[in-house]
Amino acid sequence: MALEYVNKVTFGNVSSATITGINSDDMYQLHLKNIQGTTNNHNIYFRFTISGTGQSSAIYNYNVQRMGAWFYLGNDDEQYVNMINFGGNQTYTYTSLSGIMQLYNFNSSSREPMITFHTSSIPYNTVNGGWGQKGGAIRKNSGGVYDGIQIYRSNGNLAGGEMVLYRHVQ
Amino acid sequence: MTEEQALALATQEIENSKPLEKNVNGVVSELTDAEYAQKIEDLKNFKLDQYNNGYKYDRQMAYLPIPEQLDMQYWDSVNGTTTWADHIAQVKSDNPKPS
Repeated sequence: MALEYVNKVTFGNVSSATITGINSDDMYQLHLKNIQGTTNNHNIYFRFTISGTGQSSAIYNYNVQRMGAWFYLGNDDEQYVNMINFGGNQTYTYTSLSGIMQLYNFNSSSREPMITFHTSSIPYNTVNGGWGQKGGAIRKNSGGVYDGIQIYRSNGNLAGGEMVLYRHVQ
Repeated sequence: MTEEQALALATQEIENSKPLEKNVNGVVSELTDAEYAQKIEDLKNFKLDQYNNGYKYDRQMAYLPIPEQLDMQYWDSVNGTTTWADHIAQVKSDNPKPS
């Protein structure tokens, strides 16, 4: 098993960033590197893409676990997948996010596309303290042919970051 | 906060932020009208969620790990103290539910 490079997107100060290149039934791996925000207190979401366009209908089922004192469970039939949630009322100083997604069945019209992802980030709040690392799995509730991932923030721009897409090969 | 109030805030915020750009495979361009509309919808939903559930997220961040809480409860039962209840009360007090 090896990883074959497919595509790379380096971005700065944009509303959303999209990477595509999935065109086979193979498993793919997406590396997220140093995803920066422009402000504190925000969530980071992602969507599956068709021809590079994020799909925003209520089609995502997901569950996310935060490694720490509590669990954050996801929802069914959402318009997005919430990868990181810092939408509290306290101020959470956000540094950056890095992680890996494994993508399955994205190019299949008969099987549900699925993702497992593991991300780490370092939010901090002077009252609550805190650190965050999430892992989880999500799936879409019906099949479709998708070609990539779009990430975006709940508010403000993505200040910078990089996504690199690889394909698993024998 | 009502949905209408959240929508008004989101719309104004996005209007003030224009132009917004996207990066698709390294190509940067301004959002389309449909994408601006989606951005407003997304921001509206975020604001509603933050308003309705933000204090819950704060509390979830602040609660000590479950094993530590169990240990607190055990020693409270042995010693007749209220360490665990005090911790929970402090977290709730530090992160109040909006009135």
